[in-house]
Amino acid sequence: MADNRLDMLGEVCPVPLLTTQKVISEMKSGDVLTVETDYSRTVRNIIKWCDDRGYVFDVEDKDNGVWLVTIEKK
Amino acid sequence: MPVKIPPKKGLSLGVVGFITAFGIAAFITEQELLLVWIIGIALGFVLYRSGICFASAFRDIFLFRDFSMARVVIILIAISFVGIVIIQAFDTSGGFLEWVYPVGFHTAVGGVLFGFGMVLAGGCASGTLQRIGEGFILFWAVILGITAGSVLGVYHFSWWKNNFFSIDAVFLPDFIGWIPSIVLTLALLGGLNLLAMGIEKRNNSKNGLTEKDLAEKEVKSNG
Repeated sequence: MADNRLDMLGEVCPVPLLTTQKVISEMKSGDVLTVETDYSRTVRNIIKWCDDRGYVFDVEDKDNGVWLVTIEKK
Repeated sequence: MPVKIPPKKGLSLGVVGFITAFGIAAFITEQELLLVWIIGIALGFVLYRSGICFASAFRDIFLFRDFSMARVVIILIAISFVGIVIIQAFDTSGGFLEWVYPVGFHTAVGGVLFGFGMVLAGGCASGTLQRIGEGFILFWAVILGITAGSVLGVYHFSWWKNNFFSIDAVFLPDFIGWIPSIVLTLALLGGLNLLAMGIEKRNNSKNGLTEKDLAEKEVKSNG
């Protein structure tokens, strides 16, 4: 089990999802990644992508317009 | 654990006040502008709530093999098409015809330029406005780019017109009549939608998801 963090503040589509996919592909099963973003569509993109793959995810409001998306690789 | 973040009430009131003042000013200047003001607010609201993004519609097909936004745009075009047909059919002053230009080499050049710009900047015109409304400072730079590009386009328009406009603009109802044109357009859009749905289904079955899983997902994402 390893915790990874990804700072995607200020990045817009499609960079956050592409980077998330890349980081997750290098992670081991059971590892957790937390993506920090201030882009609302990124949250939607990432959770849809996770949903399609059956990954468990959680979204947390960090601040006004800043979200933390936590993903567990299956 | 959900964190309660206090909304910025002062800022919200300021924005509402500005929009209201703008509406009153528009109404005083010219009463018809009030209608445009209402349509503008309604469009902005729909754009914001739906998150419609033309850039994502075209880009995600290639980048992520994701057809969901493309299908949203197909449905959006079908609905606007019906509205435009109604306006065009009843407008005696010519309706949208004066903005219909012939197709040609210049269409492809414009498409490639706009496509590159849209994907690199992260938003088309409507998406950029929507994101400025959501508070992304970055998109002020994008709107400057869109404005500069549009001004250049208008400035250069006659050059393209003189060199590349070789055929007359095609207005389908003049050739095959209103009803066949409407049926043909809707059939084409419906076909594209079915194609996108078919590819999505094939991709999902590759991921090992069954029809039942998909139905559950649909319920979850709507709920």
